[in-house]
Amino acid sequence: MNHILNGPVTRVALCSGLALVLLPLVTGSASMSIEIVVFATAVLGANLLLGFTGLMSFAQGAFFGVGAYVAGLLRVEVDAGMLAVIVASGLAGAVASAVVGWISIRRQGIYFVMLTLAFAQLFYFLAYAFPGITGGENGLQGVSRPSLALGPFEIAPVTSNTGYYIFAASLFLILSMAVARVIHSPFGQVLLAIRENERRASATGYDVRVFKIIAFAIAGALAGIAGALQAMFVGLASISNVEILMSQEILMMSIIGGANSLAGALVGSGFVVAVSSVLSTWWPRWLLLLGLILMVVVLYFPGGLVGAARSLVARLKSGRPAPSSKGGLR
Amino acid sequence: MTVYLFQALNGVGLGMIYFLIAAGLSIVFGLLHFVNFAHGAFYMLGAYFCLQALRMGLDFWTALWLVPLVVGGLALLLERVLVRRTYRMAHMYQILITLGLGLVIQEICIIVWGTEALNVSPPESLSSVVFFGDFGYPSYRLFVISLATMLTFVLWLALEKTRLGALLRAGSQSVEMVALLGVNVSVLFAFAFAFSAGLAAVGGVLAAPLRGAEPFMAQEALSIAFVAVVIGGMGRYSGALVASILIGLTQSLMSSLWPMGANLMIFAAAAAILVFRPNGLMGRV
Amino acid sequence: MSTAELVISGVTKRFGDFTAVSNVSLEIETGSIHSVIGPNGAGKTTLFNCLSGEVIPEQGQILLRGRDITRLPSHRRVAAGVARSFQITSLFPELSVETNLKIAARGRHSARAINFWSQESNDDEACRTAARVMDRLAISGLAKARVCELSHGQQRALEVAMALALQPRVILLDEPTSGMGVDDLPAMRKLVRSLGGDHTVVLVEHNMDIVMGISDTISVMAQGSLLCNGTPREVQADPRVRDVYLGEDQDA
Repeated sequence: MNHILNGPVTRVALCSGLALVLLPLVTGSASMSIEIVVFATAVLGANLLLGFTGLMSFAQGAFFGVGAYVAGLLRVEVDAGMLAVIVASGLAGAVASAVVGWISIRRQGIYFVMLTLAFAQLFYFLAYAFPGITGGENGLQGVSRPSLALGPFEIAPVTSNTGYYIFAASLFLILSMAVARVIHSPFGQVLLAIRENERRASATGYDVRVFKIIAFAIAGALAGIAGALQAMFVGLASISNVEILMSQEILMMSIIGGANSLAGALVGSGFVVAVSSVLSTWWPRWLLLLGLILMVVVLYFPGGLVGAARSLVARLKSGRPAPSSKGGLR
Repeated sequence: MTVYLFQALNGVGLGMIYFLIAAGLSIVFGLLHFVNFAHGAFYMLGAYFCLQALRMGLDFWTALWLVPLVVGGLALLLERVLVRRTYRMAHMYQILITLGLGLVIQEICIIVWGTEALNVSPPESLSSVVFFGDFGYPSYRLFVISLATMLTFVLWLALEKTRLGALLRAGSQSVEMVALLGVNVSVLFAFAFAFSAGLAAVGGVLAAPLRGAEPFMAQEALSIAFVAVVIGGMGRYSGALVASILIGLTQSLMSSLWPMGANLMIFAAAAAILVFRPNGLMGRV
Repeated sequence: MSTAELVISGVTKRFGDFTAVSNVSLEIETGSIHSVIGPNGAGKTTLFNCLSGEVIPEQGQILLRGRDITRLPSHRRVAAGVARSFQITSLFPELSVETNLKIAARGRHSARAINFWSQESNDDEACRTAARVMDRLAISGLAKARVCELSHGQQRALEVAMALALQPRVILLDEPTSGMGVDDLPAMRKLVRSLGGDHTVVLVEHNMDIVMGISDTISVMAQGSLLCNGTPREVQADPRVRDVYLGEDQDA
């Protein structure tokens, strides 16, 4: 019987739950914790695409931005409730991502990557070119947080950062568990197969295009929701959300954390946000360090921080070097 | 009418500079099958080193040959130390590493020169306006077009008529064959990488008096170069040239009407071509 | 109307100016083991790819029990009952043997795999199929091992296992003994032979001992055309076959 809290999903729930509870205590800042969770949501999608399906998309930032704009418009124009905002931005991200994915997967390898890059640029220029909708360079301003209330009972006081963190963290937890479930489903196994050997996956009877597009849609939904959370957090749907740099940062968080692990999303996001926060106060050029770290990770720790930690644990357990592991599930 | 001619000529000049960047990218991708996301950084370094050279009292003409050599040397060093480790890696990792490298170079430039765009003056001898009847055009821009055209011709000559060029072309078809011919492939790769960086740097030096030097020019140049190579076809220099000029013209002509529209069109065209004609307008593989 | 499992008629495949397969027609009976042999460049692989769906012929038809599968893409042929193995080992390297096979087991009804909700560890049917196949190939002990850790011979066996896990009617084996050491050959020969009867096997192979020993029928190809078709004895006796294999030596 498929109990909703089976093995891997429970593990994810417990680990993430614990991490999310500790996070604000460790960082000492509700706003930094919120940033970490927001980006971790987007990175979750990037991990699904990159680490589990083997697709490197430079367009996650674009869908992050799309989600932010949708949330901004719904809040500003229609004063929509939280549920509507989250669902709508998730849907918008999913649809945009599915379209981009559908077109991009028509090519392989480097051409595929460049197609996603071209689309990301396209979204940026579209946002710039239609300031009536997006606010152009200045972004969509005045995005307020809707109250989370069931009748007269307020579930969480989202107007305060602490309350908003509780909300965002809970949402991230639920999303993580859902993604964990997806990874360990027959669908998720096909994604792994595509990552490992697309030709074989096709010869095994799977229409790989369909699976890839669905993976894109899921990743886009996650990015869109993350964008909505961001917009409501800072009160602004900024054009910088759709810049290429955003996609690059999401990818970097994914790689540094460990693209082929779900824990990597929180770890990568936490690391990058924390490092940039800490460094930017006394050295504005923290991106330099980030670039260096990225190079070091790719050269020496392809599994990211989580991969390195796992290797370390395996090595300590067995007392000898562990076999190199690019990841994947057993 | 003259406004359009002016813009068109600007576009051609801009396009030729873009081609210098795109050509390098094409050489590296064609031969090394290496995707260099730090390529735009060499263009940027060309502009910044030119600025620095002028500040240190050198004249523009010296900078024109010295800076590309310095940038080429730097690229050679990077190739030996870092880049060659990635040849055996999947493209994905090459992209990530060069992404990081590009970021590092960009940030170093900001540390040294700040975040603001800095102006570079064209040399005294080229600060005038040349008249064709009633039509006046800045002599420096004319120089840019002429020099870039000449370099393009020299590049074509080098690729088609020299042994080195033949090796580069053959190598992009089959590295194994070239190695079997007794060529030191490692040296060839290093040279190709350094040469392409030098080309981009020439573009940077030429562009500096036109657009100044600023840290985000690397990203912009890289995007355009990729688009030019894709539209023209990977490995097809003539295609990249045509595409670069078209891009330059589009950007220039639309700069007064709808600047963002230019970029929109360019990237939409790139996406369309990647989908329908992945070998580019004129490409082979 | 033919009762054969596979009817190939007039199949021609060109790559630009080069005709790889030219007007090949043959029939393969249900449950038989049919080998395709010929010197390099004869078009065996292209014919094989026409059967597996990686390549679509310009002309001709391939009927599977009367159903036209000529233009069916390779992933859809699995549902039609055709499975293939690869000459150059093509598995899911970082995943375990068991996972490889379970993914294959689900491939037969691939649309059902668009299932995000149920957990694959609960997929009893796929587990059973995988277990059965591992048993048949005597690799049950390797279930949890990662494919990249297996020996070449074990990987070649898994190649065949993956095809079996798709529960096909027709199994296409592309040089199953490719690169195998002498010690592993008898096991592979026995395996392929045992596949007949339950399945229709089409084999591209260079190892003549296996080909002559286990095939019911053999097709000999040369330069894209079908040279002759018959039982091992008929083929061995045909002088044209000798010419094609030994022709260059005689000229020299």
